[in-house]
Amino acid sequence: MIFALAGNQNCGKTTLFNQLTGSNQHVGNFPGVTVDQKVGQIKSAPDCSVVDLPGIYSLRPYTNEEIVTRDFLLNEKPDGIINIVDATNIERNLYLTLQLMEMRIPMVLALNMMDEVRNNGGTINVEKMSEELGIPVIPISAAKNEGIEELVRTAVKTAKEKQTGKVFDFCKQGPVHRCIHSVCHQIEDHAEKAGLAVRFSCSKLIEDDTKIVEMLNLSQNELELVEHSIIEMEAEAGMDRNAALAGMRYDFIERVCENTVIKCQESKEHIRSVKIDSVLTHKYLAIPIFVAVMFLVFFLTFNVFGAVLSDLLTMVIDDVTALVDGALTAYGLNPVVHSLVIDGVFAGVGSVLSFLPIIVVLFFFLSILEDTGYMARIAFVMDKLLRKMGLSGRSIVPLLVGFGCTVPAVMATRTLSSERDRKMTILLTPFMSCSAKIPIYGVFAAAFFPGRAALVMIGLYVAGMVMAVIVALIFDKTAFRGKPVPFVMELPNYRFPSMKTVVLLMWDKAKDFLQRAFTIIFLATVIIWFLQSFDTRLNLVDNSAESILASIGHLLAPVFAPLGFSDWRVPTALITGFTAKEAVISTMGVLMGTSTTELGPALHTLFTPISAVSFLVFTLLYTPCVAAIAAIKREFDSGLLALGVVVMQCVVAWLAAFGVYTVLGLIL
Amino acid sequence: MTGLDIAVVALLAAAVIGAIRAIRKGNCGSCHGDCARCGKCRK
Repeated sequence: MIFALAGNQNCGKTTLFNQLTGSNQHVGNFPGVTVDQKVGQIKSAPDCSVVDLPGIYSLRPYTNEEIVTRDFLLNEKPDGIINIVDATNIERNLYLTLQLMEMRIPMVLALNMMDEVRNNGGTINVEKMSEELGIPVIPISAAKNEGIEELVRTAVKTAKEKQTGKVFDFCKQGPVHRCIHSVCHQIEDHAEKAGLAVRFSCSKLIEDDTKIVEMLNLSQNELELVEHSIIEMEAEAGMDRNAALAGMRYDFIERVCENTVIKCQESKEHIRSVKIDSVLTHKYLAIPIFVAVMFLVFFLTFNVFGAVLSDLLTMVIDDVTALVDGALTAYGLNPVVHSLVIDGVFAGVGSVLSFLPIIVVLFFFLSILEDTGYMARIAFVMDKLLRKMGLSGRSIVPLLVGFGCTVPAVMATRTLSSERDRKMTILLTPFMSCSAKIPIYGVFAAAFFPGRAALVMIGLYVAGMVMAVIVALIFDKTAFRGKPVPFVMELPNYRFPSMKTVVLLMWDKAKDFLQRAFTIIFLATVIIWFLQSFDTRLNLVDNSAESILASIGHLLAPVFAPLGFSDWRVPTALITGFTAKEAVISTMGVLMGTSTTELGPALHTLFTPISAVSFLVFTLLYTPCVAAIAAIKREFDSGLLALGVVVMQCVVAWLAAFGVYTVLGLIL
Repeated sequence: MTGLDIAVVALLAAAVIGAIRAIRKGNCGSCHGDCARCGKCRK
């Protein structure tokens, strides 16, 4: 059996999904984290699976998230719906509940955050609510894993017995009631033929949901009769159809809540959040505080914890490499194979692996910021700034995600309702420096700017954002003229970060990094070693300058000469960055024939401090990796546009690096 | 080539094949731990 997990944003859907399935889907504390459905098997009911749908406030197809949820419910026809509701905001959450009930799919209501309701002096008469709504209502606390077993049992029973709700007529006598029932009678045969619930079809028809109108296949005469009924309702009720429908639903919700809910006092969490927000979202203090917080995160990552752990790991990797080298020499391994293992695999993969602690520490801090609810405030604070660039505050979510990786950032643009905003945000996400570039920055910062690594990192991240702003301003006046859509979002209460969530995210990042190191980086390393060890006639070379790779590198070197780095090894390393950005460093390691600790000092033979800055600017801005290009191609549905992105990024990178190299050369 | 050479080469070849297969299955970590979000790794 398949269950759909539906509910508002920030009501605990993904937390519940993780409890039900035992998986560790990413739980973000701001909207837009789930952009597509995720499926998992229910631990306590192995023959049942649950689909985590994006959070929505209604079934009106306005945003992509609403469309994804509506289409899943219509097309996949799940055996049951688990509607999760935030009990501390019950009236707003029940609005979606009523629309889901209209679909006449077996449904269970999970009242989440009941512990918060109780702690704040409120109470909900669950049995009475179940009677009034006509569906089972189960109190749970997803975060504390309370009530989950009962929820699963009830959901399975409801689905097996195909128990559709006993209540689905929410309107009281009046113009709305008459209109709805009149339209229901007119379309019931069409709804049955289309396999849709009558009441649901009627609501969607009144809301002018084009997909449902198409599915009902009404004649022109029938459409006119329906429209006539709706116009009469609007005239009698004195409001437009959408307001009339919403009013009808909220009247019903009010009646139910009057009979079943004893409201809690304003929760301690909410009062605390309001006090904290008076500082963190202050008109003048908000952005300086954000900058200070990010500076602290980078400082602790690159200058303190991450640096110490990274140095330790580097020592271990070098010792292991030396041990293996010694052993292979002692056993008389073939020199070519020996070179592949030590100069290829160990040098290449090892130089990337040493950055694992930095990645983990960085995401430790970012996860804490996200889990406390602070990231949601950043979205709110940045809205005004983003509007000046032609974007809405909602675009900050994909842009922030882009600091981790461009691929999910591009996917996260699906939460943007405006196509214009979505395309523009996709084009800007590559400017957000992804975490794969950290090894490049780390090695160069340590080699050329020792003790100032954090400053260099922040400078690069800020430079990327500045470039994004410039490009956005250009786009706003040219290819993407128009206004961004209004931005409405819910600010969840601040909460203490859950160590489980933080540790799970760190483990996810570490696992993913290791996977990359031993797949893409490993393969790139082997290929690079081969190309730099053999010439075009497949003879082993003593000097890599005579290799296949050198021939390719020499062709490209003139392009990079104006940027200050014309040695053939540099453009070669940049090309491998197309597979994965970390490969730039692993390739450098292989081509320089050095160990991890010696790579930094060896770079002084290829770069000066000024050309190092130019190189960093180039790597910051040039084409994203092949996975990101594939994601962009998928979202644009155009290979040509994706290619355009590659060209644009490379041109911008070249011009920026050239500018930096020239200006610094004149000043210093 | 000695037996050790052949063994090491065979091990490396197996690692290369394993890496290629992992990438094809979408387990390359190309989404930096957010595979489930893009749906590629979970399909």
